[in-house]
Amino acid sequence: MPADPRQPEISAVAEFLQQCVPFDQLPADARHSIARHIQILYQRKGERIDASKDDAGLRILRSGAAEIRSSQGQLLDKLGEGASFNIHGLDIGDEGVSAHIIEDSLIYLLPRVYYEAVRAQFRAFDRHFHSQRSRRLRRAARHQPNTNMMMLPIDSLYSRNPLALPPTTTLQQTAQAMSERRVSSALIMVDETLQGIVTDRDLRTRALARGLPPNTPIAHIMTPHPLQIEHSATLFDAILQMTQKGVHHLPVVQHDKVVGIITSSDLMLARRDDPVYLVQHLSRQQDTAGMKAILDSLPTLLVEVVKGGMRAHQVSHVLTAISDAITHRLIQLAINALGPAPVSFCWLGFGSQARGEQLLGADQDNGLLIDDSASDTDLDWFRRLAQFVCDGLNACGYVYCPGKVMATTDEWRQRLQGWRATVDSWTHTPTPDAVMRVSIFFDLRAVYGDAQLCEQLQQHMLQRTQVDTIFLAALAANVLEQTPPLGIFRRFLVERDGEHRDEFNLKKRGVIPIVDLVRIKALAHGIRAVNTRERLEQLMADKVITKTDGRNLLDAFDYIQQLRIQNHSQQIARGEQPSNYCRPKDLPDLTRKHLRDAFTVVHDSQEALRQHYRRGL
Amino acid sequence: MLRLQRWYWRRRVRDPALRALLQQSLAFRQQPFEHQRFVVLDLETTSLNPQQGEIVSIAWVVIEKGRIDLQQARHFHLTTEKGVGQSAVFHQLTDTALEQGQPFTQVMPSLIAALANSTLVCHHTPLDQGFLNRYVRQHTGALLVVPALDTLQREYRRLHRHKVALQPGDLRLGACRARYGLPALAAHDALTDALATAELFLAQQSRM
Repeated sequence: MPADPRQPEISAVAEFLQQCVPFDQLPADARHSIARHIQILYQRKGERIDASKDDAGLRILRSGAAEIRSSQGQLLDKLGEGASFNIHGLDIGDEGVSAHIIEDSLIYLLPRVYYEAVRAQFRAFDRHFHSQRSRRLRRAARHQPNTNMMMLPIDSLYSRNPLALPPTTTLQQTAQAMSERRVSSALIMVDETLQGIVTDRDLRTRALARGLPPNTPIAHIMTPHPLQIEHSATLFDAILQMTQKGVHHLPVVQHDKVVGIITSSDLMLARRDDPVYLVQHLSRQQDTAGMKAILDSLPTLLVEVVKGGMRAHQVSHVLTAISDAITHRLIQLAINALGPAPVSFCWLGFGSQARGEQLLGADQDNGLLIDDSASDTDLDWFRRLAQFVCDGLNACGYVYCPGKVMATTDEWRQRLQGWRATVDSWTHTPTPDAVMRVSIFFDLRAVYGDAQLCEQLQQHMLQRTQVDTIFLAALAANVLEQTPPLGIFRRFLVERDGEHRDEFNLKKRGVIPIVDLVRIKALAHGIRAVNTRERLEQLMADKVITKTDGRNLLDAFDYIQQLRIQNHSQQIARGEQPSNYCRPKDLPDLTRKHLRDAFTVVHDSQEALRQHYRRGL
Repeated sequence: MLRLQRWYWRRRVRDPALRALLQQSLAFRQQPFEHQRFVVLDLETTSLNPQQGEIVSIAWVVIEKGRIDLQQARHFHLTTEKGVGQSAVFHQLTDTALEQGQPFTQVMPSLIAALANSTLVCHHTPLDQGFLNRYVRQHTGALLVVPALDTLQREYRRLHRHKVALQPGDLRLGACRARYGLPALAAHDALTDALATAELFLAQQSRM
């Protein structure tokens, strides 16, 4: 109940403000005070607010929609319900910015003096309006808290079962024990007390080189009172100690008691962002069961690297390297079983594997490109190869492609000649089905075998597409079907019913539209790169798209991918299957806002593409 | 008609402030919309019958220069004689809350001052004016004869012009607002409704 009728609580306005960024971050009484200072006006579609003429203050869209345009008429921003802008503030450094009302709008206007007062009083509020939206998005993509790998505790890395020997052990016994346990060091202990440490190198330099008899007690050559490290220390501490003191082994202590040992190779292994280790393990497996066992650790690995601050594109790089390694190994195993290949060939990866953008849960998209010299009987060998590898991939968790884009399908396992003819027919008569296949097919990479073959095919393909605008238009129509999940007032559109009610698919509605957009641009300009980031960078370097557009798309792509892996990692941590569905209601306000910005970037780029290929559509 | 009424009640009014209001020139109505002042008012009452019901609360917002100025918004709760009864549920008011109210005599000067050189706007004006006139006459011997507009009447005429077949409920505040793309409002108190009416009034005005 308002104490003073002259200063009533305008609850309808205050409650609305509470749902708007950045007003939601203000204390409630500040919102109530702001509500009392608001003026309300109704502006019709087509009205325009010029920075040079308008110094009224902050406009908050209660309903309706507006666009912010530069003096050249370029669209800078699109605003819907709950968004706010101060046209005067947006104009700094860029003369002539204007706002255009595109839907009849009810506008809450916070007069300039009060707006400035609130900015002066609340820093978060001030920061929000400090920069334009694209810059805000860029910051969001780059400045997420980056907990470094180096800051992980060594707790999970050291071996808890070090070789401990009494000081009276002879040199020979020590060497034997170390060989048996396959370790490079031994701790010399009396009861629970650490006396010293002996390493491979000590045995070499202090014993063998000096010709000490094998029955010399080990205490003779050990390093007494070795350096130690606390079990709570970080990777960084451990590396620092080792490099500074020039040692490779550090006993780990907890409450002055030795609990284990950490070596420089443990630290190397800790660098799990380097797929070399996993790949090495994979390449030694003799069957799919062994590979599957290694792959079972992938989800946990993902959680760890995401926690460790690894960026989405690094994660997908690693995951792609792993699926490449499995494909490699499967082909080698097939060759062992089937005998050597009759002619040279190239195993092709398509889609996300080709782009190096795989995440968890990817299915297999592959094909087989065979040298033209293959006879019809030779083709049977390749059919069996395809069967072996695709089955193996499926067993390893890369499930069969629902669209049958696999080397086991005859159309996706051909001689170079055949492939060329197929590409020609697809581009000549771009039926929806052909266009769909082509959009998968255009992201291709040689995964195994003769990369030259792949290159020839890619060249042929780029030659065809660069000149064929009708085909590109058909491709454009296809990619524009999948739009970001934003409604007219920039509300998130979610599934209405079914298993994923109130959610949307981050991959389908966020990542794919960007990948598709960028692919078209790349094809139209003969760019050979297949990775989306590389394509964008090349497009910017070739000045096909502006730096601003390119960077905005790149940021949007990074942001959505990052959200995807974080989503995956949280799902795994909860013990769920990783999925690409995301519930916007569960996201923090700021994330929602950034995601909305990212989707807006995608939407605007799609609009531009639509305009470009309009005649062909 | 309005002038005649004002002349009639001017001679019978006991309250000097109301007499001044009734004597004011009405020339402001000829000004362009942006230069006019509107007081958009809503009452919460215990009944829909102006002769029997009591006013529970009274709230208004002011439109000046084509904008609603919330600094001039007012919201009063009145003391009632009979208690709120059933409509309390409807208006989310309780007797305890009403005990903090004030008698109409204390609210009237603010209302009369606010209405200076202004047009009164309500959604279904006859009802609100009926209540106000009964209360004002009781204390001043005269009626509150001021220029008035009715957003409901305006909407009715507009829809009629466009030959829209009306369904029951089509002229309710929320339904009218929806036709202009104005957001739905959940809360139901006099100030929220006055504000909602004022927003509707601006939207209607923009289409005239």
